[in-house]
Amino acid sequence: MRFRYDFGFVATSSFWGYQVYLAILNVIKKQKLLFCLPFFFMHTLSYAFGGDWSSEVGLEGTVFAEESETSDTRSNFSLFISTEYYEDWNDGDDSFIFSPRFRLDQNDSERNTFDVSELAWVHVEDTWEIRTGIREVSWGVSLMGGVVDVVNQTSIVEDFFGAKLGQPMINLSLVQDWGILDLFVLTGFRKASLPGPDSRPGLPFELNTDESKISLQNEEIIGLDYAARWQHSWESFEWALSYFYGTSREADIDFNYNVADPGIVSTYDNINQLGVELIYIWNGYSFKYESKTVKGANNRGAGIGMYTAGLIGFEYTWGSVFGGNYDIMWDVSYMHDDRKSSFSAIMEKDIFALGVLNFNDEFDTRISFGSIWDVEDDEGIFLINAERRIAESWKATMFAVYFYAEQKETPPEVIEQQSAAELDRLLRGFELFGDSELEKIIDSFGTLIVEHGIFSDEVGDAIDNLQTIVDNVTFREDNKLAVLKDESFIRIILTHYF
Amino acid sequence: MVKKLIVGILALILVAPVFAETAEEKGLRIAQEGEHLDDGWVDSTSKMEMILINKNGKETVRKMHSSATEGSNDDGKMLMVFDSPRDQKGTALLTHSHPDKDNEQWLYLPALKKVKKIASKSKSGPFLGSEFSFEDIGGGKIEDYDYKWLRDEEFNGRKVWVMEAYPKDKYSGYTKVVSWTDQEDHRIYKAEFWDRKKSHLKTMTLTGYEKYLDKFWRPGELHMVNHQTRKETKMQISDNVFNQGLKDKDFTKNSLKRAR
Repeated sequence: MRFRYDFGFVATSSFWGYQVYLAILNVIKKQKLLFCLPFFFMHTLSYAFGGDWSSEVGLEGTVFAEESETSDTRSNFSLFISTEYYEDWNDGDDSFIFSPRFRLDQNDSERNTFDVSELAWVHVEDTWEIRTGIREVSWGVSLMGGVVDVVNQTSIVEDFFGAKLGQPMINLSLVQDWGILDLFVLTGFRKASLPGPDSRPGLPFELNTDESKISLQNEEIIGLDYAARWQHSWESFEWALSYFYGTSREADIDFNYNVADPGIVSTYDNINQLGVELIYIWNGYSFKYESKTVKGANNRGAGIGMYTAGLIGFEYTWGSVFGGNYDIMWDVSYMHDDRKSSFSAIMEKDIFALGVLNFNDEFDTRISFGSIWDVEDDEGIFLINAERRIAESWKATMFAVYFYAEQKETPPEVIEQQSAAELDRLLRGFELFGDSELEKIIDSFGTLIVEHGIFSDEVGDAIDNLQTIVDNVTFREDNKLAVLKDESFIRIILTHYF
Repeated sequence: MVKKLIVGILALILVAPVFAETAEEKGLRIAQEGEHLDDGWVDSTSKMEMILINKNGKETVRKMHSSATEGSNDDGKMLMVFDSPRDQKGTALLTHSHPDKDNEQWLYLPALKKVKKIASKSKSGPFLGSEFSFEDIGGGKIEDYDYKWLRDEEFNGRKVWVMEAYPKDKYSGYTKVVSWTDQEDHRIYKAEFWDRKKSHLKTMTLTGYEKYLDKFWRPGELHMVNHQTRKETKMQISDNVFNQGLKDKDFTKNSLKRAR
């Protein structure tokens, strides 16, 4: 869609789309003036260069099955807009892309977001191209993603399965007979967007989302991350090898080691990651393998270590099922993650199965059924996604997620251990704290005791607070999904494209 | 003398099949001639508008554009980019054809910013909800079919061959395709598609032919009618441009990501 200024601005196509756009712009103005500024900026750009605009605006309504531990919100509305501005010149050898997105949430301030997914210039030559700016990069062979994909930070607040956040970079891509080699220098590390107290799906404890620790081991941010990926194909094989050195995008959680004001913060390690991807096409099947070896990850309590995670599976499409135009695509894979109790590795040995029923009709109707099942612990996530175009440029989506996990009982002796005398034993048994951190806690306790006396309220409160954190944060290895047991939801999304 | 006669008769027997061409051989020869006649277009770009008409006459429009290179030996490359409906905008399909093995295909999903290698065998599946199937769009190779010439006929005042093609691939949705081909310039005017149950499934008529570079005939519209569902699809092709020096870099996985 092209906008043109004419005493203000006038949309030249999709009248209704533009009305909706205006109405939303109004809401945004009333709520937060700042939010509309990039839009005016984009309009000015559009006027100056006359590039190509594609936008979408959507309204999302969610109903949760239960109240959660931190929020009694059972229903929620959220509004989102995303736009892409594209312009190319020199016969397409140079291009510029700008795509910001906004979200306004009824209840969750963590979900009032503005992000620039892309703001980049791409220059193409015969055997190489260079891409400079904020971009989104996707690695990996799995639809689920997540194993080797490391370039962009994600927001699980905006999208439960992870919405990518724009990453500033310079990316040189060499296109040669021996494949495509991408070299990256990445800067501007961004923290993962993690749920706040009002977020749903959320966590049963309060995470201090403003505070975070980066690379505990080195006590500093490297500042620049480096990555490379080589991809090539031969006959029915296609593969990629990738390497990443920098601050991990995966957040783990940790205690802030402040006994006087205890809290939970997200932490990030400096890592070296080697990734392998492989696809083999055979007779309509697509066999997929993806794995990574990560060195330098904290792996909670185990110190600087190494772990591997991987996925193996296949995809197949049954054509012309149910005697008609329908087809069903199956995607089944087995996932494995070495880490026992990392926050990021909620699933360790899991089977992921996805069936997508395509109606192949003029409305592009599609229904997907998925499940992620932890084969060891009998926990799982089930989801259904159904979508259909309901008018020329309107789409309706229904998305439902069910978390199947029961809270396994915490041993009563853990609950009862609240006395100062037992604290030391408690902390030693508590995997979250590495040995080096234990000293910090004992030191800060010592300070409190010296200042206020051992039987003071201050010390008593500190112990209570610690206990609460211990109770909440220690996921049992076999019961991680329990934190999400109240978070099942159904969501209806209405999206307009213009 | 006698020896000469015998040699002559022997020669005649040996050479005879060349003169007495079977219907199958004639069919194959016509198909091969048609293909050679179309050699040398080098590369092309075009726009397409697909109008899906349901049995109540309601229309849905899909727009796309494509670019292709001919390649030297059946190893052509094609990039197709979808423009509308808007929710599909930016989706792109890259195909590398190979003479003696399966084609390679990648799909770019703009929402995920992801290039996905696809392995589908379901050629018979519908192309974007239309009455065209992937095998109708894909442009099969000569070797994919067995042929048989049926008869000569007149079609709208032009002399045509009526012939049948039988797909060799067990994944094909057809048992035979009957076509009406111009005897002079190999333009195809009509094709009938017969399904696996050997009943008449679809009829395609090709109209609005135009000649490009003084050599290559291209239809302006392909009209497919499904007799079993009573649904129709009109594929209108416009803005054909040939031989504009497209390069390999326009047909890589990298180009798929920046396709517009």
